[in-house]
Amino acid sequence: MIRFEQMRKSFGTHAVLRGIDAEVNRGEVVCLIGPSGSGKSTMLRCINGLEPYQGGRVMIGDTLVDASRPTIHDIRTRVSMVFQRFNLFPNRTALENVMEGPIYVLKEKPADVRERASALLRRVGLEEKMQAYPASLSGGQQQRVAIARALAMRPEAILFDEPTSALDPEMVGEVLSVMQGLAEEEDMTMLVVTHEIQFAREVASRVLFLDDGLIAEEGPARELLQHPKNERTQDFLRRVTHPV
Amino acid sequence: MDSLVSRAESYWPILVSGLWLTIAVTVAALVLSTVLGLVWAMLRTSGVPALARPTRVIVEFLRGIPILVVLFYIYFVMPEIGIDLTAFQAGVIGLGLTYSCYIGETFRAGIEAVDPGQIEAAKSIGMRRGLTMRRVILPQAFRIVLPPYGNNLVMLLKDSSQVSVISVAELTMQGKMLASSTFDNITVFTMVALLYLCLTIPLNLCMSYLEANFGRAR
Repeated sequence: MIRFEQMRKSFGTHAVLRGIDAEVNRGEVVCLIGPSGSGKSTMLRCINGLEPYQGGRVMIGDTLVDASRPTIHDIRTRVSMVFQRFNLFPNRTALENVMEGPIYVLKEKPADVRERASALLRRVGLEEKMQAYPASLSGGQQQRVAIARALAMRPEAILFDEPTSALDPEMVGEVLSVMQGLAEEEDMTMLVVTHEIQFAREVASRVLFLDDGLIAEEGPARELLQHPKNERTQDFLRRVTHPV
Repeated sequence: MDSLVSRAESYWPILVSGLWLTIAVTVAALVLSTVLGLVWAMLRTSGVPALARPTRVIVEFLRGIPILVVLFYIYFVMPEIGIDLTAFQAGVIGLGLTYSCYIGETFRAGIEAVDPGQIEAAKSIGMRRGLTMRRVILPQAFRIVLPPYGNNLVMLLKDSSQVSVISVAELTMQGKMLASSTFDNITVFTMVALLYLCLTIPLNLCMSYLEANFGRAR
């Protein structure tokens, strides 16, 4: 449902993505891995138009992603995003954060939304924290609220931009297990930029290895992570699984 | 001592009438400058050069002219091009225009101080520009802007004394007239100063309270 065709992106004269071909099918969990600066986050952000791109194209179903066209707003309601730094609205409670999109963007009835939002917060294990403001929540809790906020839009897919990178180590697990639940119980289509190789191995159907603006290798998660063919992939995996 | 009290009593009604006019000028100019300031800030942060650049020019122009000159210009020059204004109207417009620049810059700084991640979050749930502004940016900018906005309000209140030069009979003007007719400079100007303090001190306290209770992100 998400398709990249020879997509190119540069910041000024610096080419970040140099012709990406990739596809994420409905119900798939695809992990995007690669060294920092390889363009992973940028690639993700081109899908919902947070970044414009210069060449080739990105398609969501039959719709062309073009950040300069009004259709981008509809695309963003179809493809939600979870950010590295959560980006919850600090002046609203957890529940209000989750209700914001459905009420103001999808124009749904507040009473219905409240019920659904409560159910979503329960689903991510935050029943007790519905009335809490983000500042009083831990990083892991904030990220779970952010996942509930993304789910509240009833998206066709969710993009995760390094969802555990800003978390203290002991909170990584709670977020990953919520994500795993989404993948396994609800067949949510997910594209995840991550450094959690373990998560990729257990949850992802496929892994894309991005290196220097190109997809250097792709394949079924276990196969690619256990027996990488590309030398750069081998080198990268060696470094992230055995640091220093 | 007795005569001091009785003199003060006789000045009181005149100064209080001036005080009310000071409050009226300040409130009217505050409304005008806040609305205009918001417009300047929106245009300048619109990301559309055709809107942002002219706004910047207007703001820089107005900021570069002393309030007194702006007041004279509006009160004396406008009638020559067929726009007749009462002294009160001219005073409110002059103060409002000048302060709209300060307040607009304050608002702009507040809007720009909102974490860009917030705008991305708003975009990521499909919010358009206007909705993002209304639901995400402005509520957060409000908290950031509250302390400097309060400062502007107090300065505006004090600068409202400048409209006395175009014969608006506000507190300072009344004081000057009283003093020149009674030669009782000490009593009159002490009373004028105290009356201003009666407004500015509660305002400052009120702002500190708001800052302490709303200024921080919860």
